[in-house]
Amino acid sequence: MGRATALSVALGIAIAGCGDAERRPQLVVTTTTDLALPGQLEADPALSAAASIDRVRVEILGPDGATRESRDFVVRDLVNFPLTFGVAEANAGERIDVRVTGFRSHWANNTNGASPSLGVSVQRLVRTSITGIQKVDVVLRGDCIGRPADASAGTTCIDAARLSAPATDSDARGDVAPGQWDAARPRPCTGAARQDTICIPGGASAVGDPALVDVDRASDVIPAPPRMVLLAPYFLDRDEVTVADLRAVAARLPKLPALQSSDARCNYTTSPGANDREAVRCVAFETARALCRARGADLPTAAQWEHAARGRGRGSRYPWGDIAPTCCTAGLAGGTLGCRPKTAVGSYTDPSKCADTADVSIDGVVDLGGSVREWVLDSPVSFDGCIAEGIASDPLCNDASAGAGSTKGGSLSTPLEGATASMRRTGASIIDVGFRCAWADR
Amino acid sequence: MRQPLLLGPLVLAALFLVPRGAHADDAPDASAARDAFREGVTLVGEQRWGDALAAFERAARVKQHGLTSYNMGIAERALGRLTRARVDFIQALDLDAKSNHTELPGSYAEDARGFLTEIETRLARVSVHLRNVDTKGTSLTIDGRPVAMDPTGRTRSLYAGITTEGVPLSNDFEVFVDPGARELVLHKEGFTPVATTERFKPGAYAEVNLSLVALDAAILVDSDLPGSVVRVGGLDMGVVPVSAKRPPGKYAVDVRSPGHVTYEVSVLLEPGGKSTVFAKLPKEPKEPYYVTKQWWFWTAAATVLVGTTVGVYLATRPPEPYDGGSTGWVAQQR
Repeated sequence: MGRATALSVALGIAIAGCGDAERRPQLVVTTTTDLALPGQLEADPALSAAASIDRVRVEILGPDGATRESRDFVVRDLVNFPLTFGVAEANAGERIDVRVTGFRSHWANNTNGASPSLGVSVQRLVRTSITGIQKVDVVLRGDCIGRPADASAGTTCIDAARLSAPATDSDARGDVAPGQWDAARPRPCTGAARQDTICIPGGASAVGDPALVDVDRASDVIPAPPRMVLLAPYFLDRDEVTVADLRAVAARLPKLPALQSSDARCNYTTSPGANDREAVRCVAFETARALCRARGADLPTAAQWEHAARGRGRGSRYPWGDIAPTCCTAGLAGGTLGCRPKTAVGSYTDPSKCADTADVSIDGVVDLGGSVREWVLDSPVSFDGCIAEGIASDPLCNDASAGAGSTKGGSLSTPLEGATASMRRTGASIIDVGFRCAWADR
Repeated sequence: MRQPLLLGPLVLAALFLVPRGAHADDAPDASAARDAFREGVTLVGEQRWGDALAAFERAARVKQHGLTSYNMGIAERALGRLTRARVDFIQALDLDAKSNHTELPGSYAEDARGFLTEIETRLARVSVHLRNVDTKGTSLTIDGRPVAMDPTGRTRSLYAGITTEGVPLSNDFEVFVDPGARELVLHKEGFTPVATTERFKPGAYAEVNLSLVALDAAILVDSDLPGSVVRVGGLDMGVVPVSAKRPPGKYAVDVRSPGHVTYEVSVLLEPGGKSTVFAKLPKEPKEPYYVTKQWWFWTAAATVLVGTTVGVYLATRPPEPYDGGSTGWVAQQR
């Protein structure tokens, strides 16, 4: 029996050693990104949170575009990248699309199962048919933010040079690693600050809000889908333009619309008075812009205003953060709305007096939340349809058919929620509208 | 020492004067008894106590009489055999009492009682302990006579040197023994007798411990097949015939020879006993030819089995698992 056992073992080994099992056809997809990750934001607060992702969604689409399989991966630190997964062959030689989306769950539409807001997400489409073992690299680049893949057209953004390329084109990881995207870092002002102005460093920022994609058309709120913007540094008036400020230059402004209105809520006076320290109200768009230009500035764009008001990429809900305002936070909700706001500019700058909330931005800009709504340059229409997809560099939505100018921020006449920094309204009523000026960084 | 009164003539006269029944056939026995008694008396005068005792015993065998027993007691006492003397004096008093005190003169009865008291104080009282002995079949002799129950029935004590028939013993008992040097011998079949000489002082209390050593038993093993090997109790004893001595007990005995069926038996050896074992060893039957007991069969079978198994495995084995990378996930496209 010993001889029998030895012979059998030898035979078994010889047979088993003949040939490996055939490996089945599949894709091996290796994903990486140059956008920052939450762990990196904590380590380096200067990085723009808008230029980061914390979730990767992988979708497998069939030839008909239907989603066959989908899975989300939470990514938080460098240890999560590169992120590798497999795609098994379903039918030999069949074409498949692998769509990979990197996004920040903060900007997702959470009312619909965390659907990424494509205007602030990066998406990549890989189209192939599986033959054998194929390895594919996918790099989610910041340059491709806001450029969703088009499965029906078979196109995708691969990098800055290939903003719309065939999805069959290949990519290479190289040494790409999270946090390398240049736009994620702030761009400081290079010029000197003027008196009573504040430098607003440029960089990547996300404007809009998933909740403002669809708004009540009967209201004066303008739809504001999330969009990624890239801004150059600029200066912004620390305070809103006061009655005294306007009076001082009014003489130099020819043919300005009437500044004085018979409405008692308007506060401009041609002579010094009690209203001198109040933000001037009832100002027409043209008047506001003329005054800024007379000073060598301009009204800020909507993107500039929101970039400064929301923490320059942090995506804060209010200029002071995400804490809901109360009567002591900002000049809001006066009259029958319940508060008795102070009217002088800069009345709400001490957070210690109101549970760490005050109407002051991270850079020190005052009264962005309340006091008066402020004119911005952009036409009163949504960015979508006005500004091309992708990252908008210093965008300005100028739709002549819609007119010029829209307003940002809250006022003495708006409810507390009027301080929501992502919200933009039309200038149909100017009773509570004022302005501040923005200077280019020269 | 009080001498027995030479009352021989008086006794003879008493014997003849006692009216008898008209039993003419008693006369020869009575004559023999008188002659023996007379002889005993004569021997006593010569202090030939042993011969005198024999003569008195002959007379007593013909006819028991209190005076004869009394004289026997005197002789036994003179010989130093106090346990026997005691029996004789007690018998003399009993016979006298039965005869309504006509067989012993009054003073003799008193003397007999006196002798008994003296004897009771002079006998040695020995406590005997038998160690490691199963007392069944065990006997103890003192000076050649086994210990026995008091024949007079007056006590339930054991006495030495009285009779030739012993009684069953326990491991611990007391026996009354004549003072002086006495030889005690413990007997049990299958054991080596244990003998010891003990000196007992008059009236003393003594203890004696005795134990027995079992005799080895003999075993003889033989076989009908010369050269067969013998093992007893697991030990090789060599080839037949084998003779050995072993301590008593149970032993496994086996006798074996190549090509023959081994003989096995269990033997109980008694102490001092002998056992004989004769082994008959038949030849082992020839094994039928089984192909399943051939090495080449199992080699071929294993080869076929392994080859078939590997073939089935290669044909049906599960494919290599997919590579799920760092996530461990593989989209299956269901």
